[in-house]
Amino acid sequence: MTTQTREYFAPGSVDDALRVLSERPHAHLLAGGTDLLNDLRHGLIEPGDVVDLAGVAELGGLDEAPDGVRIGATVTMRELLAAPLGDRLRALREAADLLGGRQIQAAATVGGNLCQGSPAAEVATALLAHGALVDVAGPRGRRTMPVAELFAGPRRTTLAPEEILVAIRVGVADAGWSSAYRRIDLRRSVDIAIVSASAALDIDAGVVRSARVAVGAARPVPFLVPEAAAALEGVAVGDEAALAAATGRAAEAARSASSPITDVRAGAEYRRAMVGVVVERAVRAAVEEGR
Amino acid sequence: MTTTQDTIHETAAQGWVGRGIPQVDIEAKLRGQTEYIGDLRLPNMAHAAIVRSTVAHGRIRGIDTSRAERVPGVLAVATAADAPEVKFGPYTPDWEILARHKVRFIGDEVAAVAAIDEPTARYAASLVEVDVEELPAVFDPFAALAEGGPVIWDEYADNVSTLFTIERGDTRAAFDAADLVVDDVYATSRMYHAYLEPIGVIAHYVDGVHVLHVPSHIPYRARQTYSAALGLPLDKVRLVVPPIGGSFGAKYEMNTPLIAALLSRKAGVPVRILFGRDEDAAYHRPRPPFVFRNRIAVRADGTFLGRETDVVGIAGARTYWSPATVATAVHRPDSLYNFNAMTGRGRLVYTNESPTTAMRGFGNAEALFGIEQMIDEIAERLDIDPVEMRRRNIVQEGETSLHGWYISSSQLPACIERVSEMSGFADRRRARPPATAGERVGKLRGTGIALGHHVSGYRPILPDYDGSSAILRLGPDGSIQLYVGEPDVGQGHVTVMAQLAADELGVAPAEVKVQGIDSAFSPAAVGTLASRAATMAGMATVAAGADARRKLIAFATEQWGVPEAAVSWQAGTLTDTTGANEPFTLRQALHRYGVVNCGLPLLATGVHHPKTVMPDATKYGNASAAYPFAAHVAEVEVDCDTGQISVVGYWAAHDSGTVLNPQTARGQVLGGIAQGLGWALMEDVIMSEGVVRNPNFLDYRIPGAGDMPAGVEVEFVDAYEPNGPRGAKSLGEVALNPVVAAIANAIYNATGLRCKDLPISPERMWRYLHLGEPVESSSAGAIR
Ligand SMILES: Cc1cc2nc3c(=O)[nH]c(=O)nc-3n(C[C@H](O)[C@H](O)[C@H](O)COP(=O)(O)OP(=O)(O)OC[C@H]3O[C@@H](n4cnc5c(N)ncnc54)[C@H](O)[C@@H]3O)c2cc1C
Repeated sequence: MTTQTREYFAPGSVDDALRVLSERPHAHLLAGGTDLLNDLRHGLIEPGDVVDLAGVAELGGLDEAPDGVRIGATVTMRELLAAPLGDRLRALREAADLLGGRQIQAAATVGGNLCQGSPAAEVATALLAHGALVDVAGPRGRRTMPVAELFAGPRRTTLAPEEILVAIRVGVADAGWSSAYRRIDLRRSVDIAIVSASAALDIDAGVVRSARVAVGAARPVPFLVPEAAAALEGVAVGDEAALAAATGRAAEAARSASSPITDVRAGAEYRRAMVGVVVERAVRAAVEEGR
Repeated sequence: MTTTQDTIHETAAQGWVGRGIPQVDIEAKLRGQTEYIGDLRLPNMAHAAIVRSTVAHGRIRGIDTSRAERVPGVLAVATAADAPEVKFGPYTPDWEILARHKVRFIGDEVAAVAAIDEPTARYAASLVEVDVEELPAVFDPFAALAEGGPVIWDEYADNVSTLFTIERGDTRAAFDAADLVVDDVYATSRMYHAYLEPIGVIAHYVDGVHVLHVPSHIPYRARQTYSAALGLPLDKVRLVVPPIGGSFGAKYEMNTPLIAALLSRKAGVPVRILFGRDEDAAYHRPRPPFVFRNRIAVRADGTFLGRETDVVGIAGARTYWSPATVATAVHRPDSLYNFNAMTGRGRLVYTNESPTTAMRGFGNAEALFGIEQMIDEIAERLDIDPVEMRRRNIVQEGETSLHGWYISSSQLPACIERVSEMSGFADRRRARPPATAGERVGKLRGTGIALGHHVSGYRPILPDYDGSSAILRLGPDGSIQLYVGEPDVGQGHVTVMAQLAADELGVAPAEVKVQGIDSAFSPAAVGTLASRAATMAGMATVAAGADARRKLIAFATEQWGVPEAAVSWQAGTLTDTTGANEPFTLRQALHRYGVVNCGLPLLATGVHHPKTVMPDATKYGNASAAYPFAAHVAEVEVDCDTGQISVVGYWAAHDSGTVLNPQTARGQVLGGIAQGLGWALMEDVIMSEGVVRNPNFLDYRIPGAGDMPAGVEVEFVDAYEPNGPRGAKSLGEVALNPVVAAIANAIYNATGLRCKDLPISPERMWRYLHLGEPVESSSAGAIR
């Protein structure tokens, strides 16, 4: 039995939090705790000091600035769903709505979902498709990077132990793209995706000018499929035959880009097939939304 | 057709039975005030952790507990050396409190530690060293049956724990005369009982008596097992039953209370074992998986001529209650349909896996999964409407079925008619299911029907007696306490007993306190299983109420000095019809009774002897007091791209005789549908090499609200059972029995694919749709 004392910290600012981390780099950051506490209980991570991010004002809040939408890392799914976003960031909102049940949504944060490093993380593919950037604070100051650069593998991110995810940002144009999130699950109530996909389309005058397609739970990290996006670009969404062909190509590209695993939830063969289905469905839904 | 809705109003005027009052204990449950085993604390209570085998099969060379014993805070460490060396077990003497010479499954209980708190107990348990010489293990029942494989129990060299055979009529002649024979194999999955409350027990050794606080719903039978295991007479083991947070059969009896008993005697303090969800999901005793082969002989007009069945079930490494479920699976369908002649064999087979035990439906739900699908297949091949096909072959009211079971009441024809009307079955159903892969695209809807039945008690459960008894204690203070031996597992028996007693005594149900069960003062009941509690304890309660009335009238007669005929009893008031005396309210009468008898409460008793007989050597004889029936219709939507199946509509019509409480009754049916839906589509304890791979609610999925169809329609047809309380019979298990088959028949109607293995998960359905048809069950080759 370990006798080492563990401490609980409740910093009031990002700097305070960073100071604690500089002294105790192996402290656990606590946001909603819906992953962290379960992991501790099941012995998946070592017990240690805890730094509670709830009191750090800068990490909260969802704001719309002229240059886009800024989502604080500790914004919960419920706050996200309640925000007056209109038509914007639909994929993200659809993902938040599917994450857990209502109780979990009240606690689970966007930052926590990203930093847990799950290949199936609900908001990850949505933010990839939205072209999101993440702001990170660390002992050597602040940095910003595309969200894709955050993921490192199951249960891992590229953040250093003494770094904190501060906010997620989506540019004003990107936030306006038509988008959708779809997942395949094994039941209609709280579940984790077997595979998931988000599609975001910049549709102008009935033609897809730009696209992003992202897939979850089919590789060690959630990932963008540029070939799928390329297949969709230039397609007139009113031309059903062309759209069907392009969607099929996008699905095929996503399938090829996948290297799913077999586990108790599903076999790799099924997962790969479902990547195609879920990409088609996300693309179709995004097109519908853009009409 | 009258439905319960109508009957409720009729009976409500006459009393409490038939009224949908909320469960009398529901508020405490909703407020979290009910004290379940996990809420109980006894002074100086210690906490235990179990040391489990990490190998599936092996000889124990030694167990070193010395390091564990030295951990500060450890109060006792127990091994088989602390247990009497006796043979025991409810069906087969293959139980051990802690493994003695061999370990037989991963999770087998080898030692246990009691300590001042749980973390200390767990830590010390991790220090117990078990030296095991590993032996080859077997996980497949057919491999276990094959010669030359690993032998799990020397006494059962063929690895067959239980063999059940039965023969009635001339089956060979039936098959010779048949115009059509269908022959098929179906397999059901291992199911987690998934109750809210994980397994727990507190044992306390006081004055030479083992007091076990344990949520068993067959406490009397459990006590027999426990006293045998401890080598003690019955009265040296006392069972106190706290409120039970669900069981579905898992909590009948287990070895955990015995482990706690050993520890508490050794430690000298009360000891609690309380499973977390992961321990519970990995090491409780699940529903046994079954493989069935059925052959049915049919005449061209759709009449069944004969049936042959062969059932293989998995016992795991010890025998719990699965033998009874195998027997049920083999021969119970013969009192739903008249198969005219049958031959059956059931084998319960040892494997190196966690033992299995009974679960709601008890082999019957499993059997019907196959038989109800085969009936649809027969109907299709003979071009007979599936509803008509069933109508033609069901056992009818007043008939004695193949094995001597007397059907004292059956409104099954009315159930079939109502469910067909409610669901619009004929129009909703696809006239012809898709026949080719080309037709299986997009989202397909289909509708299926299935029937179900069950028992209301089962005579062989307790060899000594069937039936039930009740004690009413009417105190001088006006308090009314009812003692029955059949525990409420959460389904509402306490409420229903209170309603029945209230009507007998002319009071409100809230005034009747149905006492918790304690073997020190409750009747020694057969228990709550085989859907028997409402029928049996209900009859005993009514009898006790009548006895109380008789005694009150006799008391008034004596007090008033009038002829007994002059005393009238009306709605809880005793009146002297000669007018010479002031009437007694019940309260006044009880007060007076206490005064006259120096404080003695009025004690009334009721004994109910049902008209059941112990089946003879050929298994012939009316084993149950009454038989409930149901007809269910399910509508599904199959997503051919993903294999996902949604149940989009559900209709259930039931004959449970008089409905004692429509609210609790409806709850039973809705719960049965949800549980059946989970079993059909998602629930499966996944095991490989003896290890449970999904011991949590993330990967062992049970249906949530989103999986239930909106607007499930439940109806109880007008019915009366002469052998049940106020005309009632059972409901708990029949609510589940048709569900899986109704959904599977709906899937066939939607897709033209017969699913013969459970669960019909999205991936499995997708494989059927995209990689070829499920021509056979994956177990078919092994049993043929
Ligand atoms: C019942 C249940 C259902 C669930 N369903 C889903 C689901 O459908 N889909 C899904 O994707 N997930 C699901 N989850 C997982 C979980 O709820 C989500 O991942 C959630 O978004 C995590 O957020 P949190 O705020 O609770 O994170 P926490 O548990 O507080 O933290 C998670 C991890 O992120 C780190 N972290 C948190 N914030 C920061 C930060 N600002 N900077 C750096 N690191 C940080 C923590 O240190 C920790 O390692 C479910 C969980 C439960 C218990």
